[in-house]
Amino acid sequence: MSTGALDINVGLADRGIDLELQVPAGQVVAVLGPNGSGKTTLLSLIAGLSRPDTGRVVIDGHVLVDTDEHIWVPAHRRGVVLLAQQAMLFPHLTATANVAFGPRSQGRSRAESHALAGRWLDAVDATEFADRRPAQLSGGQAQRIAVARALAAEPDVLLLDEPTAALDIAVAPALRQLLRTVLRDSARTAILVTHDILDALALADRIIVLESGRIAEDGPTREVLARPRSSFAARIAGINLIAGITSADGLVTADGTHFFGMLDPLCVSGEPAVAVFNPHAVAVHLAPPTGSPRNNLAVSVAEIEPRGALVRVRSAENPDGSAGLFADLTAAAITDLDIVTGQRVHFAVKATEVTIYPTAGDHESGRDGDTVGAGH
Amino acid sequence: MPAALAGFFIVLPLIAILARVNWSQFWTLITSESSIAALSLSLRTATASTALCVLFGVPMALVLARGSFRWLRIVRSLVLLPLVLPPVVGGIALLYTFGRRGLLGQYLEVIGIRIAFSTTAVVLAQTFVALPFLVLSLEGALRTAGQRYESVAATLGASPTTVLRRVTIPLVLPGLVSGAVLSFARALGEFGATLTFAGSLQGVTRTLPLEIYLQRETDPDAAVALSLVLVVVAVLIVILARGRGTEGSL
Repeated sequence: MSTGALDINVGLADRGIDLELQVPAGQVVAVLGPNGSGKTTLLSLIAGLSRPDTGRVVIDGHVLVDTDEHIWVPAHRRGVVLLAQQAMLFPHLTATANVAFGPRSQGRSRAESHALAGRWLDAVDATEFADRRPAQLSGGQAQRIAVARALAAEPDVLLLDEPTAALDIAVAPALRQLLRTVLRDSARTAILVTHDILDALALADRIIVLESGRIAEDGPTREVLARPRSSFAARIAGINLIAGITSADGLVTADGTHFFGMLDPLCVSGEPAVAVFNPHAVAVHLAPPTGSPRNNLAVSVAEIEPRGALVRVRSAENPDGSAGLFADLTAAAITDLDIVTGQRVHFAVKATEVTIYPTAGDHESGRDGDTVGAGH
Repeated sequence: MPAALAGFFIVLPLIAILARVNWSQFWTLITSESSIAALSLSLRTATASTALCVLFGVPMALVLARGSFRWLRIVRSLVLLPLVLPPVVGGIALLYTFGRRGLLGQYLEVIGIRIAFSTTAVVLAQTFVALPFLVLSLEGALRTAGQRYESVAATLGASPTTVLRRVTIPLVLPGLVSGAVLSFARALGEFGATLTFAGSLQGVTRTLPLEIYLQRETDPDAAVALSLVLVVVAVLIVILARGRGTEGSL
């Protein structure tokens, strides 16, 4: 059912890129990394918009690039669609004609392409804009239509280059939700370049971190975000993540602990989710606190590590092996509390500091469904 | 103040023509047999040479805007040459290319094709001087449009010809139209190269500018009346080119 197994091994000398990456069919991979680390170049190498100096790109056993064999399949015959930060809708075509562009270019009849475009516009909830030109659309509306256009082309591999970055904060969650739906409901391989860990959390099964054109870290989304090993991931992640199942006012972890937080609008009760909170928001108490914070965890201190002006206190790993939590305190607070490694303390977090996000993982059952809108 | 002077400098001669027109005879003058012949020849040849400019200029502009080869800068300079070359020199050059003893003309003569001093020669002369207008205008539009839409189209599965037909050309259409309009205007006004390469034969090679120059000797009123016709056409062309919303590169 799933297509789009990707096997890449490419080198590009003047960009310092040397990457080897295998992606099983249907997997969604988030690519994180500092600017200039080669994220966008990776996408253009897969899409066929730039050529590697050495190496191979293979999709489903079909060799697209092989520098040794002098094989080069041009972009339009790869079955790879790129959705960029800007919608890049063709300004001279209506929304419908934009969405129908892919099917039309691939040789489908005008009527068939038009019908397909209608279904995809419906799937992204943009039917009302069908006859509008891109100039008459807002950024968020245009990006929804760009999603429809990308999917109507029925790519084996979908490349997303910071798809929510150019949208304002009010619109980004809706697009993230849309991408979540279309990526979950289709069995499509996707590579998502992003700066936003919320994108990675909501959409990706797996995270790879690029640094200077090389893969610095590779692992399941939650593991990389909770226990980052590369310096880049540690800088942008380094957040507290607690996995569980969404409840009415927070989530319940596997061992039955209830964690209170603010539910993201995308949360569905009973679905897998993570509680995310900043280490700054964690207060450390020697005795069980009796104040307002509703989340209160008894932990033992595993590590006390100075981080600039602050000191980071890390709790021991949970019995199930999941990562410990972090609390960032001032050096003075540590001195006052006089805590040492191994000591039992209480971590308290206000529910308002905790956000519950739905996660992309653990939805294998949802991946067998048919493609939204465009039934095969 | 200098700007006002410049404006004055451009407008005053036009007023001078208007002031000199013999209005009572105007219609008779511009509908005389020779005038009609010249006007119709001018319109036909300018249209034909505009078509040739589009035919050759579009691929040329695509190569200049999208190509990346060593001699690109030299090729671009060569394309600009007819723009700065005195038209008479252009006409001489064409004569020694397509004339009876010309570089190509001697071979064409063998298979019975004579180009010099024919209507074809008029069209060639006009195309020669007008081509740079189309190429420059379109090349600018292509550069402004960039290649990002073309990349998007390619990843959606569009072959290079589909990309050209459905994305590139529609995106640069305003530039193409204004380039074609400017080429048409240049072709319509062409004098030096035409006279040198095609001569001045009524109904065959005597276009409107040639007719005006000739009439100036014998019938100044007719020359002024026909000049006014060209002024009106020029004004219409400017309005048309600007109306397309393109601040073209020319």
